[in-house]
Amino acid sequence: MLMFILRRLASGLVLMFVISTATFFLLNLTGQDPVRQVLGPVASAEQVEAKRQQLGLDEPLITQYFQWLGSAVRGDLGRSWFTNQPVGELLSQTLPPTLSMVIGSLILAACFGTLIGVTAALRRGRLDRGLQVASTLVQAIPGFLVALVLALVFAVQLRLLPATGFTAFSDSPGKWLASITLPVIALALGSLASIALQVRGSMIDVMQQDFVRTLRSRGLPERSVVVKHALRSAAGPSLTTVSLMFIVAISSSVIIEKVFNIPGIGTQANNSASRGDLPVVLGIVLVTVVLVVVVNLLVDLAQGWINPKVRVS
Amino acid sequence: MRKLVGIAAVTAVLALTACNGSSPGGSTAPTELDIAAIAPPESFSPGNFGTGPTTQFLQPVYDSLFRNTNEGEPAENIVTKWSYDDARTKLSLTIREGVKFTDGTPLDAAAVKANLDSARKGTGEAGGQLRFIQEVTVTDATNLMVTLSAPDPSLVPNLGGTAGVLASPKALGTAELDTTPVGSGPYILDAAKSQTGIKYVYTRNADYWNAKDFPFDTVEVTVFNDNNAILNALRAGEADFAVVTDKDSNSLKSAGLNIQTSPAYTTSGLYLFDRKGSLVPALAEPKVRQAINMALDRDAIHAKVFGGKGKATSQVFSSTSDAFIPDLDKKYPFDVDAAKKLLADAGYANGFTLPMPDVSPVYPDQQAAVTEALTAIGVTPQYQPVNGQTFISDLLAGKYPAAIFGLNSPRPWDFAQIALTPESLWNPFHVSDPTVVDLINKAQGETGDAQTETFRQLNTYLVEQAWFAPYIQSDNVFASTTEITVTPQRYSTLPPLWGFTASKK
Repeated sequence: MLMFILRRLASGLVLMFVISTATFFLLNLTGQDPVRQVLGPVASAEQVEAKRQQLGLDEPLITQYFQWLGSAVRGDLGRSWFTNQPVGELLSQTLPPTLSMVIGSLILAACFGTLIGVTAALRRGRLDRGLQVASTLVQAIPGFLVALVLALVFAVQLRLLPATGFTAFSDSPGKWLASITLPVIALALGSLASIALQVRGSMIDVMQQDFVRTLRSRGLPERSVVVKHALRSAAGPSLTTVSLMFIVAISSSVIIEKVFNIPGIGTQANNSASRGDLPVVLGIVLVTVVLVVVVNLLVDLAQGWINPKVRVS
Repeated sequence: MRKLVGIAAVTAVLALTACNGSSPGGSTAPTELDIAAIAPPESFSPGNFGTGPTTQFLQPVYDSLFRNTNEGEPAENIVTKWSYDDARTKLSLTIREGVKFTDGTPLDAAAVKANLDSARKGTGEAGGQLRFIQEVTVTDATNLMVTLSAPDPSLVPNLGGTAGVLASPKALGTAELDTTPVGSGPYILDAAKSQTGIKYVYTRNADYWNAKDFPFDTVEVTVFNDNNAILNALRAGEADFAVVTDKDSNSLKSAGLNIQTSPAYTTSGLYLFDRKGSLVPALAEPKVRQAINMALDRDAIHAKVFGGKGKATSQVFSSTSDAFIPDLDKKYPFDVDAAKKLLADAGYANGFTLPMPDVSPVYPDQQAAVTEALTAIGVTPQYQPVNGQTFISDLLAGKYPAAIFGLNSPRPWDFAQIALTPESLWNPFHVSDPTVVDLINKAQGETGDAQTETFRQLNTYLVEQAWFAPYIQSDNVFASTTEITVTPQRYSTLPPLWGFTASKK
């Protein structure tokens, strides 16, 4: 077990190295002039040159790369070229909003998705067909459209919830909840529908299997058959869906963050990449890789916990 | 599905019954000002920032040496008395007594010197505005002398802007100052509630010497990344002020917001950089440049491309400045036949090809209008694909003989410095015209009416020689809640912080 975790962590490190190296060189190959971007259209040639030296951009590319790598290994991700803010500090500001949204939306999607999926699978008939059609439709609606409608109705017209911004949990738990409610719903709907369809399919398969009939014939209450045994067996594929959803949610959060002006990592990545703020982009790439590796590891461990069959492999 | 129908129905009902977001009753004046900004400040270190949008973040925490009036004239602030010598190269300043930075350091003549010395080495536009300063000498605790290498007519008003902000000498030169300002201004940045690059919360500086000019207890400046989010914030009452686009102004007005326009101090047009014909020989011929000016239907561009906002003109100097001459706009009436005749006189009866950067992704309507104008007189625009990140550097390197562009044009002297001298950054082909150089040098040593007259002569010469083919001096559109009143300032693209007051009920 320990070996398994260590192996996964080691491959995660390799992944971080490869992706950050690729990002570094790809961003440098675009032929952009970040210094002119930083200083704007009226800075003089001398000012541009001075800034170039200050940022170390007059060094050969390979030197710049090893300087960055050397500091990164020691935990120093450098400073933003545009605001001079330490990248570490910037990440610690932009991660909480995005993680609040993404984790919140996954919890919402997993709970309600499972509930709807199980209900559909057990009840079948008209309810099942209705839920299937609804899920497919919801999946087809782009999240940002839902976000725009939610913002317009609940924030602008009814003024029940804030239209823009994010409040940190540590500042005020109530305001935090209010600030992420609409974004979480907008982000969750698509995943919720996918999970519902996934759970429904697995549950129908499992409920027809022999062991369920055996359990029932032994006189186990239906509730115990469904929750303790069938659901556990059906949960495997759904967990994989959830881990994929996590990655999808991080990338979809870019657009939801935009709609609600939430200062998350997606918005930051978008802004920094478009103005060529290399240190920030690299920092965000690293953090995203870490998140993906950790979530996959956790899901694998959870799979083993739920389903003993997986542990052998 | 049912849920969606429900949402749609609720939206429809709400849209029909919307009560225009009337503010909740109560006559108390607002104590908080929420400003929506579109870009974070580059830095809080003097000299390292620009002169435009960053102002919104600097004015709460920093005092400037001068405070410009609504008419853009410098007036006292930290400096209480100032005077130039006859050669206008020595500026003596007297500093207000008893002002302290929020870290307790006294704001004296030495502190002013430290700031000017640090700022003029800065890499931002504000630092560039101090380039004529040669030396700063402290005379005593409240007096100092600024020696210039040559007269700078804009220095004092610029010291009333971002070039003249004062940070605590203890913080100058530290990396922390880039993100955490230490000033002597009316407010203090509340670091615990603020997030660099995202949201800046300012609370009152209890010891401020001039609190009466700043009625709000809290000022919040939030950076927005999306236009639609700005509109939602305004409509939901979460933002009190934002610069919006012209096309959104009507819907905001019907949602109960105040809409006002103010000059953006940007001259948009076809910039004919290659006036000596290095890349396109035809552009060296004044008649060709005049023909291009006559091919532009400025009124149509004003109405259709700019929605009737701003001012249609063939002059680059701001229409709010005294150098602007209304009659000069009659010089190039829209006349395709006359333009063709001018081209033929210049020896280009069959036209020529004009390579330009393709700005259609950003300014599709402007590019369409210019294409139509040029094609009508037989000039073929040859648009070349542009990399957004290198666009400015390419223009500055003289890669394009002409470009559809907008350049900042506040005071005439500033525009001359940016675009007219042979060394100017935005004179990428370094065109040197003795008349232009002489007039700029003359204006440099002059003041008042004599200087205005020289700038008017320069303006007339530029229009007659068709140095540019401008079409619009655009406007900014400001949206604000009815709770506040906003007063713009001449030569500033954004209203100053003291231009925001609670509305009288």
